[in-house]
Order: sequence, then C-alpha cells, then structure tokens
Amino acid sequence: MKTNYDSEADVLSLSTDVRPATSASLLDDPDIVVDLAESDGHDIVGLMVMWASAYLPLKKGYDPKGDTLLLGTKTDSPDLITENSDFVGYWRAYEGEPDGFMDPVGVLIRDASKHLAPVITSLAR
Amino acid sequence: MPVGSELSSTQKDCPGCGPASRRRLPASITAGGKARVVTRYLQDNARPGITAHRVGYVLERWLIRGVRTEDGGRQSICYIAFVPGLTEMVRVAVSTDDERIINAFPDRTATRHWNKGNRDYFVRVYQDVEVRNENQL
Repeated sequence: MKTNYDSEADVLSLSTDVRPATSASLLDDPDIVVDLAESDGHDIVGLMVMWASAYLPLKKGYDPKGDTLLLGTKTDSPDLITENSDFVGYWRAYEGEPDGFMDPVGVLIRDASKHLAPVITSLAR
Repeated sequence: MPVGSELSSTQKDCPGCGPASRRRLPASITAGGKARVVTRYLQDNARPGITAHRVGYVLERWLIRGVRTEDGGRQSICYIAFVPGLTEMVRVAVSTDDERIINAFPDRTATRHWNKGNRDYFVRVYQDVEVRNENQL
C-alpha cells in the first residue's frame, strides 16, 4: 500500500496497486473520499483523507491493540463488509433499494502503524 | 459494470476535456467572473476526468450547494453538478472564504442519491443545502 501525506493541504492518501474507477464514493462523516475498483464497485482500493491531521500520528480512530485505524463508522450490523488488501469496508444498504445501492460508512485500515510509518516518520522530523 | 465511466460522445461539449487521463490543474480557475486559487495538492493530484473547465462548470452551474462541517469544526462549501462528458456528478469543495478550491472528484454517492430522488441524503451530509433545477441556471 502506498501512502502520502501533504502537510500543506493536510491530505493523507492511501492506495493499492489496483486501478480505481473514475468516480469515487464519500463517507457520510468525516470527509473521506473512497476509491473503488473498476471491476467491483465495493472493493476499496484507495482513500483520500481531508483534514488528516486529526488522525496523525495515529490519534483519532486508532486502536493500538489491533493496530487498526478506523475512519468513519463501524456499524454494529453493517449490510456488507468488504476486505481488499488491508482495507476493510463497512457498508450500509438503503431501505427499499432493490438494486443493492449501498454507501460506505466506515473503512478500517489493518496494520495501520506499518502502512503509515513513512508518514509518521516524516512528521517526527 | 464499472462504477463510473466517461461518455466519449459528449466530449465535444467540453473543450479541453480529454479522456480519463490525469492532467495537472492550473494554479487558478475563473468561474462566474471570480478567480479562485487551486491548492497545490489538487493541482498535482487531479483525478482522471477532472479538468479546469469542468471545475468551473460546476462552480457556475451547480445543482446542489451545501456546507460540509468536520469534527474539528473545519468547513468547506461544496458544489455538485453534472458536467458534460462525465456520467457522474462532480463535487467541488471550496474554502469558506470562497478563495481556494480544495477538492474535486466525480462523486458516485451523490450521483446515485440524486438519481434516486433522495434529497434527504444531501440534507444529512451538508448544512444550509440549496438545490437548483435546470430552469434556475
């Protein structure tokens, strides 16, 4: 997974090697753009976190026990959980939507300290 | 089915908008007679399909405008509109002083809610939401 933090814009981006679709989804809260794979509209292949300083260095949303970083919400009973690389996506379906229309409500990053190590190191300098 | 794709047949409606290639955005974009600075990050990291023309188009011909507030109280003003050449609505976020364009991307979530007529989504996610129809543009 590639990571990059732009301190001037306060934007953190994470991406896998999978090419994302042209369009992206948005978490309800906070302002996080979720890139999805072209081949499967529910496979999360990248994130762009606006106002990322709230999360760095591993503050908000970080669970040191599991070394996970949660962005957004991990609902008690998500309608769909997807796993792609170290991204775990939590999805909510909309009532009365027969075509399976879902929104991402949260993304968990596994091995967060490993993936964000380059960013954290650069912040410490 | 791909989540989002471009409509090549409508490229002629968008001068300077090529296929889904990554282009660098200019340092400023003028729309409605107002020039706004594009953040360096966005200049360097414009998504495929996001061009200066399309960003300006959204700022002038938005269908939805609302304020987005983050946990820390930081806010942005978001403009959302369909643009020529793309199947998805584009969301452009501008600083609250209306001086800087800070983000722009084809927004799958907004598009699907809009197409379903689910206006509640926009009320839930944005504050001070304004909605325009084609007749008001």
